Amino acid sequence: MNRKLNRILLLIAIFLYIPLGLLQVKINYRRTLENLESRLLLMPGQIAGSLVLSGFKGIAADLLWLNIEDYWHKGQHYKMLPLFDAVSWLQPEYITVWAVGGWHMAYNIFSNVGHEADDLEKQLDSLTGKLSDIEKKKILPVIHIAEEAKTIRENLKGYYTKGLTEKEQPGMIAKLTGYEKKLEEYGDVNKELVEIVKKLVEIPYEQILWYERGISFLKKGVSYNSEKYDLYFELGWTYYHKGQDYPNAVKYLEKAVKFPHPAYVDNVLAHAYELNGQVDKALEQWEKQLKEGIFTDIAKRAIRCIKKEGAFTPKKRRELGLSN
Amino acid sequence: MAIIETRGLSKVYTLGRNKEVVALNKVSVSIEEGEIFGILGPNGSGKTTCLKLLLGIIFPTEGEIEIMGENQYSVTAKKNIGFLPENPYYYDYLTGPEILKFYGKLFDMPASTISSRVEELLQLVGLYDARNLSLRHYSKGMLERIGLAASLINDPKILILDEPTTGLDPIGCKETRDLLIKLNQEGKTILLSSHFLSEVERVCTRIAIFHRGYLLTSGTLDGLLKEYQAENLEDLFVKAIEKFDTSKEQMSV
Amino acid sequence: MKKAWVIALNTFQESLRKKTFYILLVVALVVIGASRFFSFLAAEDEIKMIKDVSFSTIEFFGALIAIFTALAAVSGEIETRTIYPLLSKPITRSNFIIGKLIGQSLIILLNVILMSIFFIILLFIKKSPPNVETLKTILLILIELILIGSITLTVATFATDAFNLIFSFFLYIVGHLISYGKSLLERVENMVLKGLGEMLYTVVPNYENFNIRDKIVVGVNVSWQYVGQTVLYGIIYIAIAVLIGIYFFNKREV
Repeated sequence: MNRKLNRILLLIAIFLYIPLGLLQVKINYRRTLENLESRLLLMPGQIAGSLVLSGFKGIAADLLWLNIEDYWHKGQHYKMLPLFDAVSWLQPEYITVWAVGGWHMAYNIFSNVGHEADDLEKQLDSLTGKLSDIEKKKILPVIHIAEEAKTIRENLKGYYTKGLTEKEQPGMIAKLTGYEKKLEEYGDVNKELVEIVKKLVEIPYEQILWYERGISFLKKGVSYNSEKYDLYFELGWTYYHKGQDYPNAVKYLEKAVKFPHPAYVDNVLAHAYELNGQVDKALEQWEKQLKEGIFTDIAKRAIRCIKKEGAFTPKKRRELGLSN
Repeated sequence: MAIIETRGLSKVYTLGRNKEVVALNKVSVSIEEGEIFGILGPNGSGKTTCLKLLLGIIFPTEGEIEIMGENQYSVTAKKNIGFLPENPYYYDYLTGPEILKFYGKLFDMPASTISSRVEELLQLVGLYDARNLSLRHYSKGMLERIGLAASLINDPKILILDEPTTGLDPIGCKETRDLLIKLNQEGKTILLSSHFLSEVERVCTRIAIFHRGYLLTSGTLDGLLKEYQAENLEDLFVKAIEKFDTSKEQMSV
Repeated sequence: MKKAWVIALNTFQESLRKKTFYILLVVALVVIGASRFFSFLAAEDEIKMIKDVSFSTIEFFGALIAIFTALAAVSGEIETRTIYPLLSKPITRSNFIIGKLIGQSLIILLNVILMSIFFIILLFIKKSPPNVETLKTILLILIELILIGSITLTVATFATDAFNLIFSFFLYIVGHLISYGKSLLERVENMVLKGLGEMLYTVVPNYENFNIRDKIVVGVNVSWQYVGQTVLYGIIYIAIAVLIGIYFFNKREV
């Protein structure tokens, strides 16, 4: 065959690697610009694991998600935890994982753990009922602790929780840890009773932990999705609604409104301002909404209430003794 | 006028360290237009190698080839060649007409020409009735015949056939022989290789004898019989090989 | 070129009639169909799952089809000796290679279309019709598959089937991981190693360029500019592969 021509073909082929290389540089640039780079690239320690999955991350994440659903339905909360981590690691931009994960932890598991107390309370009641007066006297501090724990649990229940804010938490945890220590002193007096009360003290402790886990999980999600409103809102909402932690709620909701977002986010921010004591900022927010035509009826009412009575949010109104 | 000519054609295969196999050794042969030229020799004598070199399927180590005045790779030369390989095998999922059409298109033949040629050829080789059968259901004889038809699709000036009667029954052999003679009378130059002496005897105008990659001798059958004082082709064959072996011995001494 | 096209159609016809890829196609369709049975998940999750599974299936099974079709293309012809009558015809060796490439690309195209139609029907059933981003994803997968096939075809011109098969799969994996390797490369201090790494990065086909599935599935949009650049990358690489293939095939004796 024409050797010369053949060699020229080979040379052209090798030469074409030059524009190919240049194009690759452009493509890499575009990938970074359009955020197409897999976040896994930013986690050097996990490259080894991701190497295994390369093209199948999506499917792996979906399968793990199925497992999470399964465990949820079976009430096996702890088993869900590593799976949340796994799915969010595989597809960090899958916002639903973070949002649902955070919700499961801060709300559902939080609440389920709380319900475990119901049976224990019944057991405690029946045990104390059987005690003689002398025995009751000996074990009084324990019963007292049980009552305190119950109060704390009650505060964690319902719509307006107490004890979850960043300020209150350390105090709460210190209290509960203190109770646990104290209970050890009474271990010999009535072992069975003390065990039950111990569990009753652990329950709110665990609940607080689950709330915190939810918050941390959402915060981690935000770090991978910092250019979207979604997880800022989830955090803000969790702080606002579950934790009654208004300073933090405001902090994250303010971030959320910086990105394209649905109208209700603005509403929640306005409420959060109000409950955080920033009534003037709340007013500003409602007025902004009125101007932009967002939920104008509500905005009008809010502005009127705040200007006239100083409060619009139901909780604030209740505090000031105003009717709804 | 030589339509095919080789000058000092050699093919050497290198297998590993310093081990060489000489498949063809400085073969110079000249085939005239309009003749039926037969290449004779036992298996491994270089017949197929020679044909493959002519078709540009393998490349010579040394020497030149000229086909109708051009080299063996030229598209012009190939347009005028029809080739039937040894133990022909074609795409078994196609039918007879389909394979012929496929090859026809490779010759840039217009569609109408291809269609009429296909019909003609199927009739000629007696496969018209089997035209809807895919090749995987063909017998060996049928494959040989479709192969022949395929080699004629472009109405070539030169027909190159590698062992055209291998595996054919006596009737098949006769039919092939008759067809070749007919095609030659129509003006086609035929180059065929075979190790069936009787076939070659009956059909070829000139022959060449190959042995271990060497061209022992070539010429008309009558001429060679006289030269080697042989009674028939078989005798000629044996004597030619003996002469070659003797001269080789003398050379090495 | 016309002759290349004749060979291409023949190759395409061969694959259709030989039904070898039908098995892979059917398995792929079953897998895609199975993703539909997760209706107990929230609607959004189910759509994501269908998309994840479908894209990955189209890519993976498409790669298998591309590799096996390419293997059959050259070595199949040599083994069955159908290449002899073919090469004796007035065609050049480049006609042969280009024809084979076009032919196998048609097969790949057909498979991708069939799998995509099935996938899109599923999306319509789930009331989540595909958008432009979905089509971009499929386009990039298609180019990637043709590239994979062209490399296998090229290697077939000078290597055995066994080597080619292992090499093709190995390259498939490496091609997907090479972009991760690049980030590791930035930490390497040894200049020689780094240089070698950079060379390898350029030479090995970067299949991850074509992977925008992870992002599309969570709603990220990809620009046409990116798609265009990546398609061009694919075309240039395919050209490189074809030229190298023709080079080796020109020297090959059958």
